[in-house]
Amino acid sequence: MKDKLGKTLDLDRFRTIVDAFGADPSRWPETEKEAALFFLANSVEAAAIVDRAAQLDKMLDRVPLLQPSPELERIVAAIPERPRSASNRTELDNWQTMVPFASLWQSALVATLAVVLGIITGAATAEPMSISNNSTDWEDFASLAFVSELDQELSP
Amino acid sequence: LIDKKEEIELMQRVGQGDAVSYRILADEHLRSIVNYAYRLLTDRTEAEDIAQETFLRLWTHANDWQPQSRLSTWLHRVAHNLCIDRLRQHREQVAEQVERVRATDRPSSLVARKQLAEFVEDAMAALPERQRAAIGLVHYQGLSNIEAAQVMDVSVDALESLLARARGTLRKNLVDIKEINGDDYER
Repeated sequence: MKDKLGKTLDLDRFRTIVDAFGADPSRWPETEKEAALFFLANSVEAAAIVDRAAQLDKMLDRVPLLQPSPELERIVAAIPERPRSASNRTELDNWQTMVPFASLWQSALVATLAVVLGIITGAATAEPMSISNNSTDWEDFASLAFVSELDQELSP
Repeated sequence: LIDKKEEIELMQRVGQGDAVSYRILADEHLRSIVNYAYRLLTDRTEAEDIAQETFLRLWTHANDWQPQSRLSTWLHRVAHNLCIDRLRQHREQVAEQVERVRATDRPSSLVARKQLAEFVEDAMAALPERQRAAIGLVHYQGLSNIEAAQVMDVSVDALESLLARARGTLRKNLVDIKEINGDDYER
């Protein structure tokens, strides 16, 4: 069946639309609304489908809308008055909610930074070790290591 | 109602720290966001927490909003993601709640003990969360199929499928039971 714009819609598609969006045309997809209304106006079966869907719509509409509590209205209205630090904390909270195990990551990050800082500090402050092939140095070093044995051998 | 041009101007001012513009937008959207969060979480206190967080984001992240989408869609998306996070945190608790609804899912006992609105809320709460979100956005919040799909980050076809499944289940649990129980149901 074609509407005045020439768009076609069959009973199956009409049923799919109403099964998903209900009986009220204001909820139907905008691109198909006109064709669906045209189909409805010209089909007894379509009218029955809408009547059936309207029963559920009526039931769903029995749920009353909540009115925000005065406390919530006051808090929401006062959000711009919060100190800047509160907003910053919220951004941190946002980051934490977006990253799984954020607290563990934070701990690991702190520990890693401490190790890196230690390495950098150590590298910057330590004096370079000189390696010498001078035999006198080696003998002095060896004498320190074996001094007790030499003392024993030389002692009367 | 705030038109699109005014909405863009107000959001630009919010991004510059204008509290008056922020309050105009909060007044316009607060009730809608509370109700959407309530449809998903079925708990008033939690729904109000989510609304508070959503409007805090409006104040602190106003510059993130893209004027191509309606502000309502953006706020629903923020609230939706916060609700899904909250549901994930309390998944076991929700599973118990759904099980409790199913266990008492007998027409005569339900009709006798519950008001119709509570019965509908219980039927909504028993739906899988994505189906509940789809019904909440399209039926209760009045978002278009394209806007609701954007909020849920699904295709329009997927949204349509979620809606059809949700309405099928609700019909079975609400309308068919009403037909079985007749007038008693309305008491």
